[in-house]
Amino acid sequence: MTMITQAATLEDAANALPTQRGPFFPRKKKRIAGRSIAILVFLTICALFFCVPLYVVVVTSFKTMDQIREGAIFSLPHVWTLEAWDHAWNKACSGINCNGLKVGFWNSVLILFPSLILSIALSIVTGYALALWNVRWANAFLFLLFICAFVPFQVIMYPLIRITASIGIYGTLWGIAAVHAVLAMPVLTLIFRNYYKDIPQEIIRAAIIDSGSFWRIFIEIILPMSGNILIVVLILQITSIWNDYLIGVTFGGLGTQPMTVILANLITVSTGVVAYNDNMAAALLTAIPPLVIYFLVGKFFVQGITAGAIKG
Amino acid sequence: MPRVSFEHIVKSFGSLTILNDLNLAVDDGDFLVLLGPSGCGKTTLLNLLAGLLEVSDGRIMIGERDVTDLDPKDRGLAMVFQSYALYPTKTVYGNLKFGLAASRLDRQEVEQRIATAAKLLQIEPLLNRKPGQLSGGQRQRVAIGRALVKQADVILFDEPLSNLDAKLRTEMRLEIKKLHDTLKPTIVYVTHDQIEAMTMATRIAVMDGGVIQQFGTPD
Repeated sequence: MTMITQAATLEDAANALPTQRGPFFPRKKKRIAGRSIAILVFLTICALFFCVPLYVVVVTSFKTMDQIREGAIFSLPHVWTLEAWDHAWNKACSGINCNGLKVGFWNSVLILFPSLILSIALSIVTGYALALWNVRWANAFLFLLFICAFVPFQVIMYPLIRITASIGIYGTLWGIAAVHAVLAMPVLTLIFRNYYKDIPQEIIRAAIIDSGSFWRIFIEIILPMSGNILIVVLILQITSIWNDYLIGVTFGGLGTQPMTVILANLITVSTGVVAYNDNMAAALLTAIPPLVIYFLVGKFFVQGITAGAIKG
Repeated sequence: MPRVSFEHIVKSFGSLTILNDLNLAVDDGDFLVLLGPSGCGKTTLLNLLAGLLEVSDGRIMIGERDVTDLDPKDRGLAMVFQSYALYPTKTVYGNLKFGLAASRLDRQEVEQRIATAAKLLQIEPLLNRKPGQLSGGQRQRVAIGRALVKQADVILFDEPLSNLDAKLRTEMRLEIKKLHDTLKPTIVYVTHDQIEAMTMATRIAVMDGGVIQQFGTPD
């Protein structure tokens, strides 16, 4: 009886004073200690390190050349103008072609899709085979891939040029796509293989008894389980293909240069006035597409990284 | 005429020999329980029969066929796993259907087999759910259903009840026994639970250290 009344009183108290909930386990109010102030200061400096240049780039791109000549790089534009953006996109010159960055943008898009499809298709199947099927010399092959992941591109650049030239794809979109696929394969294969290693062995065993077909199991069972890791790889690949300069400048012909290469050409022009506003706008235009991808699928990206387990 | 027979089976992993010259025959329609402590080689034996592992030496016969070198899908077996091994992205219906992936049946036959199995196991209302939305007992039923749709002569069970709670385990024990009585398949059932062995089996093989110590009826 006493228990019940006690409980009732407690409940009443809680109801009566909703703002003072949980007085039975009082907790100390957290205070910001000296150590965390130091961390905050450090983090702020780190953030400024990235934000200040970004701020300068953004405001400069909206200024007129007249204002830029005044030399106050931190000041806001007197007149906000999109002239530089328009000029960079439509009229800026790369070499003798003055069609602006948009040429490079479309080239980059055209490079992106075949590169993405080739590189992911190649490595997802390899990773699947290595993780879930008995492949002879699988460990030796994995070790080889691991080594390949550490070979700098510059070392194999010249042989790759010869190889792509001899099969006739040098200087074309397909040449760039093939090189992207080959170079991304070691790391992507390891990523897929490690992800698939976590799939319970009994599921693949059941599938082997049920179907036994390599491709059917891949398409019907494994691929639908790969959503998370595909998002991760997709973001990694989109960013690295879009931001790539060296492969594009080496393997791209005159008509197939990606946005980054055109951007570099715009900015390294050595005659006339340096149009800072144009350059800044061009740089921002080039950086925007990967950012958009991050905003669209960033949420899944975090999920994909943290979701290790595939529980039934 | 034995349905399944192991003849002079040797299985070793590197220098470690798990099974050495093992002989065992299971008659048609028998419910054979392989009983023994962990690491005695009973699951290895089951995997050899399923074709998930390759024998180092010896011969495995199913009926009159030598299946020693056949792929798992060609052996005409069904298997129920300890963790159920349901395909997480497929519905219950999809799981049952994939059980028939290797067989070339027409649509109607597939539908009919799935309907029969679902009815027998009382999982008809669950057909459109994903495995993640099922309880342990229901998943177990689906796993058994996936084996039943194949209408295989031989069904293998690898400790299928060890993930269930005690009450459900008793229920499923009876259910599997009942299925065996109605459909009369040959069953090879691996467990380390003596009660399961005594209540379900028509034949028990007690294994220890890769050797069959005793072979006989539960009585």
